[in-house]
Amino acid sequence: MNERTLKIARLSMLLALATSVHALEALAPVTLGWFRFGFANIIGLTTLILFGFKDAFYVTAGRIFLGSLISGSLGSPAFMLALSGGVVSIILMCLVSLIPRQFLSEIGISVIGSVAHNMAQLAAAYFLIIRNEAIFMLAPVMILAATGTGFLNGLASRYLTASLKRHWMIR
Amino acid sequence: MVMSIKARRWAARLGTVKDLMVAGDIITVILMIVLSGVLFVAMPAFLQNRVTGIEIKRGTVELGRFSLESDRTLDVEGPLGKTVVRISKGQAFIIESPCSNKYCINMGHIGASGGVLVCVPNEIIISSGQNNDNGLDAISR
Repeated sequence: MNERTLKIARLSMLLALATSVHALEALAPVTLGWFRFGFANIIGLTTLILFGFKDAFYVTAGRIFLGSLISGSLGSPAFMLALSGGVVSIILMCLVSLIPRQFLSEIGISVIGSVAHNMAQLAAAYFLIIRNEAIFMLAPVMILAATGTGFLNGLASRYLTASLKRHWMIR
Repeated sequence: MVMSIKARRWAARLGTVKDLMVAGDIITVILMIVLSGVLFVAMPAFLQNRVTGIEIKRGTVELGRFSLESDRTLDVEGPLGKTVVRISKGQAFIIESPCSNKYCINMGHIGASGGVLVCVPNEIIISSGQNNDNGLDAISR
């Protein structure tokens, strides 16, 4: 198998995995209204680390479209929120991943991405849905929650990246 | 503190914070917690400093904005005469109107959360809350 085919196959696997995680998370009972762990971001971050920004962007955008298609929220406000959050977070994670890994590991990148995701969602919710400044009262709580989930996702992403590097013999 | 063997094994596997996170991660996490704390304190003050109050219009002409904080009675001149608006305990309502149906008086009161009182014959519109509210709530939109 040549390099190109191999890469396409691997990216498809990551996209499929991210889509299933995204769809399964949408099925999970929601306890706190807006609160989600964002496990799908583990796959996005792993793709970013293994394959770079362009492919990570495709995987993230792809999983949001496909995942929403499966969970039936395509085109709904929830989908708009997921899309804006996902795109902003992957762009920001790409920027901070330029910092050498010994200064900022997966956990730091994930925390920043997670906070960016939540803030982008809040902004999108304000502009698209609620239009009431009072929702920004949620910002500190969301930042704190995002820090926690970002930490967990970053840790998971570290193990996934290490495991995939070993299995796929990348670098 | 005494840890069970299982807990100690897990602790050894996870390592300390320094094994888990490099300098940038710790700085990021602390920064986020500080940011959250600062916003937690600053956000309510920031939001409350915004002008909240009622806006009174005659037709399309804006007559002014009035705070809901202080109690008072406003006389608003319309084509038919004087509409009397009373502001009390953060609520605004029409207590007197020259119109024949008195629908505006029956519309009750509006507060800072939003709402509108209209006297059609006297062309008086009293509104509160954000203007970009188009009458739909978050769910129906």
